[in-house]
Amino acid sequence: MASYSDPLVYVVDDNRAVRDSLVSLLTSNGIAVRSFASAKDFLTRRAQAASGCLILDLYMPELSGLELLRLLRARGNQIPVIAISGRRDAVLDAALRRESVLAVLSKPFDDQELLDLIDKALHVH
Amino acid sequence: MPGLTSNHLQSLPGSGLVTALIGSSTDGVIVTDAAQIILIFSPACERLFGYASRDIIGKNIALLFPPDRLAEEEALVRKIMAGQSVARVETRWRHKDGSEIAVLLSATLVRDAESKIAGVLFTAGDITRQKSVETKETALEGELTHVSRLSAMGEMSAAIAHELNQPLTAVTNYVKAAQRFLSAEAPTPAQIRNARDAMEKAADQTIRAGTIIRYLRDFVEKRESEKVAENINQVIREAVALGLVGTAHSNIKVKLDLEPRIPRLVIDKIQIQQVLLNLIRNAVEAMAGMEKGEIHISSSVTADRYAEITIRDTGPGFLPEMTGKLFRAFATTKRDGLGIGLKICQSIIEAHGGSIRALPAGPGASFRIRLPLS
Repeated sequence: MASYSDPLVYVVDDNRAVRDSLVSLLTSNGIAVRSFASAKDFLTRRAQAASGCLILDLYMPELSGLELLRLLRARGNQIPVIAISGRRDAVLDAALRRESVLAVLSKPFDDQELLDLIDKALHVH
Repeated sequence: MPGLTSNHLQSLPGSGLVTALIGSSTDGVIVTDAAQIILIFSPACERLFGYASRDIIGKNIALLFPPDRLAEEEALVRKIMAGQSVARVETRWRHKDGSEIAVLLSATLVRDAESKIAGVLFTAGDITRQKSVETKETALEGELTHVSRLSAMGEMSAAIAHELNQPLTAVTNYVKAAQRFLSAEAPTPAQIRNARDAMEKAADQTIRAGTIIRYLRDFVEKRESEKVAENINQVIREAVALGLVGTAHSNIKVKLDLEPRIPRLVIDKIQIQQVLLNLIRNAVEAMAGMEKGEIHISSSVTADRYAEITIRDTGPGFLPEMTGKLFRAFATTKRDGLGIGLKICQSIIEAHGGSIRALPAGPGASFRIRLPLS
């Protein structure tokens, strides 16, 4: 069983409410989670995390979700990523697929869909 | 007996010429005696007011005044009798059928050979059609404002939908979390506390979603101007928040330098916000391709009792030859711009008794808005 110091799921979203609610949702399901308010924050503090799973918002100021993902992949980090986004864009979706994201979920998403994806991510790795 | 009479006029030498002149005038001509009894009522007047001259000659001119304006029109006649001439004054007179007619009125005293007041000569031009065009133009302008708002909406709707999806996502997550926390047979006090906490946060987020929707509705709604005392600094802050929606990717920084002691201004908040929003969006668009951009917004109070708002950006600015044309409708430097944004800004600010102008000093574009302190 994972402990708080060894989180299994990372959340990166600049929106405080989305971030906090995801922590509530995952915690209520017994999933250890750690959240970050920006891609930069994640990079400086957790870039080494290669296990577990990353829930990644796409539209963020400064460094976007896609940019973070490309940086991680360039460093050889293959952590499974579930992208979440308030708006969809076919070009962006294709770019994400090239970085082998597990899925792109449109906000707001079904909690069960997210939980199933996390389950899949954690069992594959 | 001094003064004019109908018979007297007809007996004047050259009266045939006078009658012909009066008859050919496209403006209505009315001559009254000193007691405002109608002596001459020209053919143009017959068409304008619906009375045959034979029916109205000998009656008091007050017959042509709308009942609700009787006092004002009689005051006008007294002024004329006192020697003041009236030149091209817009007023409303009454048609035989009771409807009102917009007329452009001129009047002068007629004096007899001994310089005594003999009567009054009125000319009345029909401006009903012109007035109705003006009314239509005003309506069209309202329409234009509405359309411009809708197209700005089109640009912004995707951004706002995105903004709205955030609280909705949070609500779903919080509610599902609460449900999950309470799903045990006998939830622990900690689980109950967590669930309560999540539900409260969900409620906060629905209120936030509601605020975004209200913003949107205020923005789209076509409405009458409503002026209320407002804190202009707050209006500026809200416009900035709204203006930056959807620009999360850009490197645009906003610096506010707001005078905290600025008195409240009596304004239509939505309209003033639209002006600010327009200027902010212009600045954002102008700096879209740049690595870094800044928007400086300041508010201050001037010695002549105006609130002054300055919006300055660090974009490319505009060419000196555009400065004079900026507020002309359909003048634009944008590829897809309609060129009505600044025109609408100007009409809104002027309707508030204020002014807006582009400051020639670069670099970047600067606009200064002045609004009177009531």
